[in-house]
Formats: sequence, C-alpha cells, structure tokens
Amino acid sequence: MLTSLNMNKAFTTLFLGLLLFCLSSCEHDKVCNIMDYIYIFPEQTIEEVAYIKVYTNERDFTEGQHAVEPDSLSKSQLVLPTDQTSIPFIDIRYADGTNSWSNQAELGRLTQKSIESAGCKAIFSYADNATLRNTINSSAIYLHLALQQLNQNGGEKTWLIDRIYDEDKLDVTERPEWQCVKGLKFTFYKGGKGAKVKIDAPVAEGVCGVFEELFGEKSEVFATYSLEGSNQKELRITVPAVSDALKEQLTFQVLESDYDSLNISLTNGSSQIGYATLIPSNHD
Amino acid sequence: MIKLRVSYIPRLMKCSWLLLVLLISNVVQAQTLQDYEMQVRDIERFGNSYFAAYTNLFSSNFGFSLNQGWQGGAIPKQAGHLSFSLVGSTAIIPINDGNRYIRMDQLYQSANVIAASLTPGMFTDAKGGAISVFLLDPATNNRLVNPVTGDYLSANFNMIDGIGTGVGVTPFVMPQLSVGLGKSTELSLRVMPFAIGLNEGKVDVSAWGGAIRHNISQWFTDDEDPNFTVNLLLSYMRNKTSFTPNGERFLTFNNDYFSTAGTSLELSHHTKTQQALAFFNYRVNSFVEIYGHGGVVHQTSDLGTNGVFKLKINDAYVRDVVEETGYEYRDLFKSSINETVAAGGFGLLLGRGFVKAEVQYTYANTHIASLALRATLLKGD
Repeated sequence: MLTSLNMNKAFTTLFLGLLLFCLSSCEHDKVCNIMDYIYIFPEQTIEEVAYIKVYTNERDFTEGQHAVEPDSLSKSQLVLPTDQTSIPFIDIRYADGTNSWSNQAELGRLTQKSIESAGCKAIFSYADNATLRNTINSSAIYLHLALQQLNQNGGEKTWLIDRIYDEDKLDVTERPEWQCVKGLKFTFYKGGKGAKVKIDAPVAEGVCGVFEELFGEKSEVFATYSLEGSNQKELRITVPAVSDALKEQLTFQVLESDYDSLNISLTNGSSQIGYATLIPSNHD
Repeated sequence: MIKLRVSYIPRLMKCSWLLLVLLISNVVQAQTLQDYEMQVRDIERFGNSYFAAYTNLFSSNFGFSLNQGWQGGAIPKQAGHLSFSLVGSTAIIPINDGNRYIRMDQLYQSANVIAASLTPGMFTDAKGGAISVFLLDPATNNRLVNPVTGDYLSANFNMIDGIGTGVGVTPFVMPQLSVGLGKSTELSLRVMPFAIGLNEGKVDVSAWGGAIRHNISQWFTDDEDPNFTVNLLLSYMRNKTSFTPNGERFLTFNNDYFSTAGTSLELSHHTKTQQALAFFNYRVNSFVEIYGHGGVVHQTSDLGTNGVFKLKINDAYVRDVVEETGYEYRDLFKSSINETVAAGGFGLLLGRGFVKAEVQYTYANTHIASLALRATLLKGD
C-alpha cells in the first residue's frame, strides 16, 4: 500500500515536472514577416534637426522615395515597417547643411545605445544629443552637389564647368590647355561616402588628353565621389584602375559651394592650376 | 541529428556571400595586394563572426546532448552482464527574444559590408537579412563602380535563412552496448558510423564514445541490495559530421562574371565532450527507479569547411583590371567553442527483467532530453 502511494507520488511529481519543462522550453518561435524597426532619437535632436527621415533601402534613399518621418504622436520615434531583407538608411540634416547620409557603416558612427528585439519589433536607441551632433558632421557640400535644396528628399544634379580662371583671375576658359576640361559635365547622385557620379564627355570639344583613358570610346562614365581631408574640401572622384595622372585630374579642391554654384580648383594635363566655376545644368 | 543536418546544410549552400571574399581577393591581384589585404581580411573576419553567431546554438550544445542519455539506476553487480540500448537525445533550446536574431552591430564591423540590422539565427523561422559587400578604393574607402554600367562592384544577397524549427534541437539516435565488469561497475560503448546519400550530396556521420560507471555507495553499506545507491559516471564522446556536396553545388555558381569550376568543399563539425556525473538512485519498487544526477561537463566544438574554393573571372571588364583570372582559397571558415558547464537533472527507469525504458532530463548549458530502450542480453555470472 505504502509502495503504491510512493509510486503515485513519484509519477505525479515527474508528470508535473515534465509538463513544466515543456511549457517553459517548448515555446514556439514567433514568425514576423514584417517587423517594426523603431528608431528612437533624443528629443532635443528631433527639435534641432532640419530633416530626419528613414528609408527602407539605398535605392529609396538615393531617389528620396517612400520616406518615413518621425511619428506624429511620438516625435522622437521613426517607425519603419520592414522585413529583414531590407537595409534601412537614415538621413539626418541640420540647418547648416551638416548631415549624416548614413549607410550601414555610418550607422555605427551614430553610436547606438541599444538594440532590442521583442516580438515583431526592433528598437534602436541612439546616444545623447551632444554625441550625435558631434557625429553628424558630413560637409554641407554633399547636399550642394546633389540636391536643389535642403529639404529635397533625393535625386541628382548635373553641373557644367562655366568658366575657368588662372591664378591671376584671368579667364582662361577658351585657352587650348583647358579644352580637355572645359566641356565636362558632372552629375552627382545623392549618397554618402562613395556615392555615384556620372561624367559626360565634352560634346563640342571632344575627348582629349588624359581623359581619353577615362572615356575610351564612351561618351559617359560612372565613378564614385567623396569629400576627403579633415575639412572635407577635397572632392575626389574615384575610378578603379586608372593612372595617377587621371586621378590627379579628377581631384578638386572645393573653394566655395552653394546649391547654385560651385567654385573649385583643378589642374589640367600640364599640371597648371585653374579655378573653375560650375553651375547646375538647368541654371539660367 | 541526421534530420537536422539534412535540413540545415542546404541552407548553408546559400551562403554565397562568402564568395565575395574570393571575388575581392581576385580583383585585387593586379593592383597592390597589400592595399586591399585589409579589405579581404575584414570580410573574412566579418564572415567568421557571422558564421559563428549563426551556428552558435547548435555547435555550443550538440556535444553536450551527445554525451547524455547514459543510464542511471542500479548497476548490475555481475561481471559479464550484457545489455543493448537504443539511445535518443536532443537539446531543446528555447528560442526567445534574446537569441531569435543576430544583431549586426555585435558582429565584426567592416567598412565594406553593409547589412540588415537583424538576421535570423539558425532555428528562427525567418528569411536571412540582406547584405551587400563592396570593393572599396584603398585610398579613400570609397565604393567602386563599374565605369560602364554604374553598378557598384559588389555582391548583394541574403544571409542564411533560419531553418524554422522554432525550438533549437540537436537530435540523434545511437546504439549502445554495456557490459558488467563486476563490483557494480559497468562499461558502455556507443558507436555510430554511417553515411546517407541525398540529392544535395553525402552526409557522413560518425560518433563514438564510452562511459564507465561505478557504484560507490557499496563501499559504505553492508546492505546487499539497497534501494538507495550512488553511482559515479565518467563519460567521453566525440563525433564528426561532414557534408560532401554532389558535383559542384556547394558554394558554387557560374554567371556572366564568375565561375567556380573545380571547387570542392566539405562542411565539417567535430565535438569532443568529457563528463563526470554522480547519480543518486532510488528504487521505488521492482518496476520503477528514479534518480537525480549532477556534475560537470566540458565540450570542444569545431565547425568549419575543408577543401578548396576556385574562382575564375569570366567578365571581360574585370579581366582588364586584374592580372590573374583564377584564384584558390582554402579553409574558408572555422569556428571553435570551448566550454565547461555544470550539469544536473533527473530520470525515470521503468521495466523489469529483459526490457527497460528510461527517460532522462539534464540541464547542461541548455535543456537536454533523452529516451532510451534497454534490453538485457546476458545476465552474467
């Protein structure tokens, strides 16, 4: 009798133990086809920035389509419904034009405080406002090169070399030594470091000098651009596997920039330095 | 074990992003290799950190589960007692908010890799996160484009999907032979060598190991047949699982830009586990025994690839940029885990005479459940 009671107790205990085990361990995974990526910024940041939007992928980011803005109820949050197959891009701009056009590498620089994933939400919290402000320091020239205005979501802008001057401020645009440079057109696309630029060969003057290496038989080529140096004034256009001479001709110093004009210093094939004024192609 | 490997290995075949490591290695040949070496190393480091994170739940628990399911209960006193067991065991790893996704910011950060913020772990039911790997200009870290098309010199794909079990498992079934050595001491051996053919390739599984258990309480009591006994168990298990794909289906492709003819890769996983446990057994009656057990277990686990990966450039533009058009790469990935954990649990033995069944629960790094059917072949002297 006693043995039978012990057996019952033992079985009951084991059964309850196994049941508890299953309940605690066999929790079924939650499937989330769409997750809400919630980006939380310091409130002060939201108040200070002139523009803050998040895009699902780089194409939308570049073209400025399907942007998500801060939540109307909670202004420090941006809620992006997405799936794991997308790579979100955050676009932050201050009124002075400094910005962080963030690809994923840039996101790391935004010093995320924490990421939590719970259920079908992932929450990305960012550091304090002062840290963010120091991190978001990309030059306003990026905006000037590719956009018409601060609030434009995305796109590209084509620049023409209008006039070229020598070191004595004499107009040398029509001189033979600058003919290979004169008719170049540059179309800068929105993007951060390593964004695309299209270079069109001069139509009237034809391709000459070191640019023959760049264009070959083509009338346009693609490259990437970035602003280098501590003051982000060196506009460098990067084409893979080209000569040092061509690299030198595709490196410019930005002297002044605005949405409507761009003053740069450049060199010709004879290592002469010139100063060029570029204007948007749709400029009057 | 087999079921898991079969479903998990083909997913690893989608791991085409690894190819970009090789792509970059190749593209940079004609330029200054040293200039690009950091990019190549960075991608390797990123890949290793991701691969280790993806497989972590499996590789950190498989060895522990393989070394469970040793019998509890009273040990036959007679020398020559022989029994055969069929032992099944699996880790049962709860998938929760902490391990459902891999956070990209916790992996090795590389300037030439951009990826979705989250990607699923091995057992999660979700598609792999997007990833793009770029070739950068060494001087500026700018992404490079094809001057003709404007396309970035990059590879865009998704990381590995989760296999979608929703619960982490490491199942296996293994035969075991146990022989009594006398003085309530028993030696057990497990061996499992076999191979199975699949559409995708051949899976070779080998595991072996043994355990010795001894009744230490006999030295402290005169009772010839006590209901309560204490046993000490020392066990050792090791395994090797490898997947050899048919033809060139693993990490291979052929498109306008690249071909991987001649590639021969094998995925392999090795574990070694040592364990020391004490069992506290109580015989409820002649049909039922219960026990609790505890001790320590140590595991080493190595996951990686063997063989050679060959990449050839088909594209005329890229060929103009590089000197070499073929590249070979060995030892793509390797992930190693060394861990010592406390282990403890309980079990139930049911049966009398010829056949017994045993259910066992152990917590060793995670939950492990074992089920064994045991048949006595010889009673011994």
